[in-house]
Amino acid sequence: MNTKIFIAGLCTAAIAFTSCKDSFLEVPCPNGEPLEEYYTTQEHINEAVTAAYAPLHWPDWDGTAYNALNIDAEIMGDDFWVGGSSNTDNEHWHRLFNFTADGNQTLATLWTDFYSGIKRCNDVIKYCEYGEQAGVDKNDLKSYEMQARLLRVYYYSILWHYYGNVPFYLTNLQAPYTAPQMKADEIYAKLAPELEEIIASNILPMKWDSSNYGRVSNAMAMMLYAEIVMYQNDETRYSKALGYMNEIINSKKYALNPDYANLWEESGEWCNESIWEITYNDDNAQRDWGDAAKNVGGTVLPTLISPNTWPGGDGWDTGMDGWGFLPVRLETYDHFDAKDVRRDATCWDVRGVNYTERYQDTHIWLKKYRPYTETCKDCPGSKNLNYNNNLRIYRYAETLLNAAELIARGAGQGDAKSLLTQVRTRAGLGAIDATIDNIIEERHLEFIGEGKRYFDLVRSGKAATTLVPDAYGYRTNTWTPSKKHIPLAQSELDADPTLVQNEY
Amino acid sequence: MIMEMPIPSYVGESRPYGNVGDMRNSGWEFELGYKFNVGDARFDIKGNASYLHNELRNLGNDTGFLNYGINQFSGGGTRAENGQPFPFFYGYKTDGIFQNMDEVRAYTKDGKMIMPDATPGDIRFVDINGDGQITTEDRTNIGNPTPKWSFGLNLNAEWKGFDLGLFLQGVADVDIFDATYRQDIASGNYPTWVLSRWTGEGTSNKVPILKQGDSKNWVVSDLYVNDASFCRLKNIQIGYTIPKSITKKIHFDRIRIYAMAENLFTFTKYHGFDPEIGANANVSDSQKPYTIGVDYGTYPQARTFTFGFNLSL
Repeated sequence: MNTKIFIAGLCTAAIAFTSCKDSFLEVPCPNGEPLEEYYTTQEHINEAVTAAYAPLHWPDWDGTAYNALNIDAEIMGDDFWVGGSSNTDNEHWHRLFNFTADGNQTLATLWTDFYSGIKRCNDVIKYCEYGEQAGVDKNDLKSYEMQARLLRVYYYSILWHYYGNVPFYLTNLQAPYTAPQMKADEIYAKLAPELEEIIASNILPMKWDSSNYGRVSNAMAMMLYAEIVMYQNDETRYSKALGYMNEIINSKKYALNPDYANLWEESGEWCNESIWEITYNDDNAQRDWGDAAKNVGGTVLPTLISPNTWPGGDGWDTGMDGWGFLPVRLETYDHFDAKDVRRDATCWDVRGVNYTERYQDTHIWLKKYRPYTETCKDCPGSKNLNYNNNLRIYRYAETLLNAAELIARGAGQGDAKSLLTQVRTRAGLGAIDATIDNIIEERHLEFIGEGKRYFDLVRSGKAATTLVPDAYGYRTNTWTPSKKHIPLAQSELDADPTLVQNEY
Repeated sequence: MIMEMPIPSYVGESRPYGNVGDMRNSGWEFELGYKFNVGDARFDIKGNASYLHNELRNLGNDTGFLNYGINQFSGGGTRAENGQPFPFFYGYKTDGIFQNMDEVRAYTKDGKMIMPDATPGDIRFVDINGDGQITTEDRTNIGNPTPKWSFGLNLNAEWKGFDLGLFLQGVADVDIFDATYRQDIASGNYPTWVLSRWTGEGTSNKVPILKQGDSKNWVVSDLYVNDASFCRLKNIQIGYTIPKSITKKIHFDRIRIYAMAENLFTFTKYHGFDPEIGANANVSDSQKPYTIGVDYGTYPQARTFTFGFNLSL
């Protein structure tokens, strides 16, 4: 410190004894171009938009923890066990499964990942201002800004689903780098009108052309809207949500894939049924351990949820890596009607195959995201971290079931039964009445392993009676309403002491 | 003090660097040398020792403290805090093992059990703040990875063409956190000290019972903190220079043969590979300060033997 002061003193002396022009004080920025000058072309702003999308693909493996979005939700539901090598392997999942999470065992890095996304979305919106001053095409900028706003709502909605009461900001933070923590209801009150505004602007297309698959669309915004409105049980917005579902249906841009099993194959990615997926690709995939987790590439999800020491066969070679998380409960398999084509597309039944069992192993695995040698073969590096599977977030089947349920809940006119029947017919089943219970049950069967069941149980009031101790002694606690919001990470509470921990 | 600014991760950006605080290092250094001859033998001894008091004066954030985790451990880690050395180990203090239920029931404050959920074989954690329960508020300074004392000793001797060089080095009053036991993976490797675990009344008063899915006992506590003082024979060299009367005949000015060993002996109570670990080399520079003295199974320094000769024409 003393040395610095001494040098500073010398410099002051030097300046005092020599005359100088003002230009002497203008030095080039040592860190490169300032942001205001860099983000002045369409190409550069598009880079920032891509960066804003990037955190979507981090949760399955972000270099610190595994928080695959569908696993995070399914482990709190009633269709799967947690698995792994023991009940301390990825302990945060086991603790959330049994409703005993705390500040040290929670989805700590999902929070970090998606706040990075929020920050990057805020950046894009800021950069669009720079672009506007520099004369970048206005339509491009409008699209970028709207994508960022919509993506930001998605990031917040995930944090809101899990943590409820979270810090909220729409412009990036300056020193002292803290934001007010809002109550879950306040967050919802921010997100729903924002979505209404985004949809009403009609800037984003109902469906992107195939070279832009992965970008958020107006249909995606509508699905997100229905999801949060129904999770909040906000009856005042039901009719608006139903209107949006009808818009998607009437647009004729989406349709059920006649083959349910094909939905989960590589050829089924971005099929007509798909409204939004988080894309993963094994071609030249670069994700790896440590910091490289955030590189472009595939997903570790199939490795996480597949049997350990697989002997080879069934499209997956011997020696491939499987970690044994998320075994499907036997009861889930048996829950399907034998005629239901979804059973064999959902469950990879390997009862009878010998391999080293892991914790809670049932020999039934989630087929929707099961690994194949074929689907990671183009990765030149760590194949087990780079499977090709896109994570399906919103499907047209959910549009139909959302509409049916909203009608059943009195949101407006419509033929709920025919909507429900479309989904059941594709599954090989006959028509039933479109009661709320029947629709929730249909969602259960339709979306197993897609991370929807737990939230359906919570919002429909069935969680406290469904998520109860099991016959195997795995789950020993019963869900209570305080479990709706999981604990914030202790490290965040330490960094910002104004944060209030959730009563879990 | 330039370091990462301790901002919450919900800011959405990696932590920026800033001139965030002040640290004071004060202490004493001693050095003593002596040269003497005994007959034909010449000796040169030099010893040094330094005492360091390290104190974080101002971390630069509102709270005056910041916690950093230790990978695969919960309940604490390393910590920076005003008025304390930087960094220090922050976790629970232990006070032996509950040998039976009577001891669990006897561990009370104002007539109420402090650890009502404990069972025999569990650790008796110290209720530091005296509120009658064990909470995160009971975490405290359980060790300091910065040595208070560092010392070295140099000895050179010569006698009738033989020469000896010796360099001893060591530190004292320093702690290491043994993070090599990964309790979250049941099938992981276990260090041998786990063998001395509690297996019944009177078997251990230090290492708790070993059972799957136990997140109560295996948290950051002084159980993992070890004395990392050591004294190491860093270098020893013995040489012999052949008398000039002989070397002249084969037209060499000087011929010396020697044998050298590095890291020949280390005297330490620490059970790990190597007590001299510093910071984890595998993390980014910004993370390094928080891994000082945390032993993730650092690859030990090699013991090297060298034999050689010097020729001068």
